[in-house]
Amino acid sequence: MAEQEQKIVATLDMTGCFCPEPIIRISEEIANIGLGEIMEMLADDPSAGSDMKSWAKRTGHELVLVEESDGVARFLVRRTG
Amino acid sequence: MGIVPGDAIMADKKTILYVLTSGIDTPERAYSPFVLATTAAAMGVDATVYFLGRGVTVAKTGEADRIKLGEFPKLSDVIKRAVDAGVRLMVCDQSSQLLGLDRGDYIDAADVVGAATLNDLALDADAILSF
Repeated sequence: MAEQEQKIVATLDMTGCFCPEPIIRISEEIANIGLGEIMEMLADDPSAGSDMKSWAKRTGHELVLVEESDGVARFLVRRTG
Repeated sequence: MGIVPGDAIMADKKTILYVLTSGIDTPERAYSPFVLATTAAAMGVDATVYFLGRGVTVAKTGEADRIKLGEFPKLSDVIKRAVDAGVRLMVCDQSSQLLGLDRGDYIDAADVVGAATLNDLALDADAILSF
């Protein structure tokens, strides 16, 4: 198992939720994990991929993985601050 | 500069000013600044919504409670969420007078400010969006 997978400490399932809910929620929830830990988020909103890149760019949190399967995108985000 | 995937360098704190000049007679325009501002706050961006002209009708107590479009929550709930996220609300009370509207009692979260404040906010903002 990749190192980043081992550091996942929380999962946020945002399937069925639309913009801007995934961004709002992860910005709230990531405060509940430790620095360096990784939050997993699942989303099927088609705008989530672009929005997560912008969100990570602006907040400084690190988007370490984006993958998609059956219309559901999976994001791994490392809390940096 | 465009979005650079994987770019994790945190930019300086930015500010966006949203100016709402549309009133309760065009509710579909009233949602956007609050949704965007809430999202801006989630991105670490300082966000302010300024109600100007007919836009002040949206800030009048009770008006946003009566607006609900489609699957979205009531406009008042969307505004509350923005405020809870740290979005500042500012209202130009003189706009009511200008348009011959009753001057209003405004929602508690909104500060009544003047034209100089709007100009100052505009000069300081990194971006201004008008609705």
